[in-house]
Amino acid sequence: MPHSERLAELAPLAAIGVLDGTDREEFAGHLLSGCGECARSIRNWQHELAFLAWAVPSLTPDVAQRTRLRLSAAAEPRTGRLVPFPAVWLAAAAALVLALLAADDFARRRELSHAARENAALVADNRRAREEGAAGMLRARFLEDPDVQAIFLSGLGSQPNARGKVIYSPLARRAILVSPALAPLPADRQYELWFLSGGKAIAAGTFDPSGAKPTVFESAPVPGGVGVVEKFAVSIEPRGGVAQPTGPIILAGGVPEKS
Amino acid sequence: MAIALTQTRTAGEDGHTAGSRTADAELIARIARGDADALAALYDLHGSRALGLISRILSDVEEAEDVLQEVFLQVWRAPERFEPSRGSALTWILILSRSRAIDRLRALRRRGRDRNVDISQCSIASDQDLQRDAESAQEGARVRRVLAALPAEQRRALELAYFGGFTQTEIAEITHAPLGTVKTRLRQGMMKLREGFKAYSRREDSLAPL
Repeated sequence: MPHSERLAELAPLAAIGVLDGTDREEFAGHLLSGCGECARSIRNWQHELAFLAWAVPSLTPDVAQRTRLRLSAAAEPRTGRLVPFPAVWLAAAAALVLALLAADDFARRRELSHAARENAALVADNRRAREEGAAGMLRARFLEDPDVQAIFLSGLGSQPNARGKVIYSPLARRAILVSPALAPLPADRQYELWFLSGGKAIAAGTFDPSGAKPTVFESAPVPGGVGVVEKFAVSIEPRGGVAQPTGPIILAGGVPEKS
Repeated sequence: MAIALTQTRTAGEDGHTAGSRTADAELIARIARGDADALAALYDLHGSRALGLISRILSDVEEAEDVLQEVFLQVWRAPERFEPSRGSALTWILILSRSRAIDRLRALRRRGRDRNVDISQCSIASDQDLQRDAESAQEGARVRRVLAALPAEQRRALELAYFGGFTQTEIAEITHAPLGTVKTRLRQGMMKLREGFKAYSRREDSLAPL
């Protein structure tokens, strides 16, 4: 479909995502035919419209979301190299991406199916490389790094079958707790993680169980002036946490002595 | 990572400086090499601005945080999609954020679960907002000023489109205007935004296209 003034007028509307009906189908078809001028127009408009994000206040994400992102990324290690895109595929991919941004669900499903077929060879190659990368990362981060310690926590009290693992780095002064199937709590209660050092308990943060999924929690940093962390424990406390443990301890475990 | 952070301005609120663009490009390059710390650093720099935009669109904190995760995982999976010549990493992230948020909003609408149903709340600029806008970053105040300068019908159409995720037909129904009029309002409003933002952009470094 050749470029025209009418199609050029649809480009800003496509960029802001309002096209529907025959306008949308016509313009999506025009993009897929490879109109570079309209593709560039959409990209330019999208960059300019991004200014509108400053019209609303920014919002600080919850710290748990950062941990979640780190863990999700760790579960998908990159190969450490950029996958080369042949020029023809890049142009087609760019057109498809732009069409995806402007099109409705039916067209999107159709284009996703096309993109998935085109990517099949790249995915197979990347899968093998990801496995190799994950093995290397595991080895480097947990098996060969003398700083990182893995501490198993055993269930106590009302949750004798609870289990947990703390990945602790004295250098980072932080711990990550992973615990499958922690019991749900009343609305006014939370779990609280504790560092235990020199017979004293130091609050490390509160968290809610994740239901059916394993609970993952990144602690607050070990405060300055605290000596060697010898043990970790999890107790049930009033929502928001307390300065010293008051409730029942349901997980506990000690840092193994260095050999 | 420490070097990258010190090169940015105020708490990562904008990616306008040449130094911050360099830092972002460096982070993207490290992400491409599989550096998850770089992804976390990029999240620290730009996550709050992206979450603000997503939250405005979805009006649901849990859905918004979910979409924010998807956006940054998309950055992780395909850092090669970022083209430094076209704009800053922040711009790229905001484009992804808006796209994902609108997708989620429309999916929720189809299931009858969207919370962004009060279209009277789509308004984002007014004289009152400008007067009490003491805490906004300078860029925020500028953007609001550009928006406030638009004719009310154009601003309304743009707000319904950009933040509300409504189609041109839906905007016509909401505003009780003919479809052709809505298209004209949107196009003319976008042209005025373009001129207004260019007037405020710095020549050497801005979110405006090259």
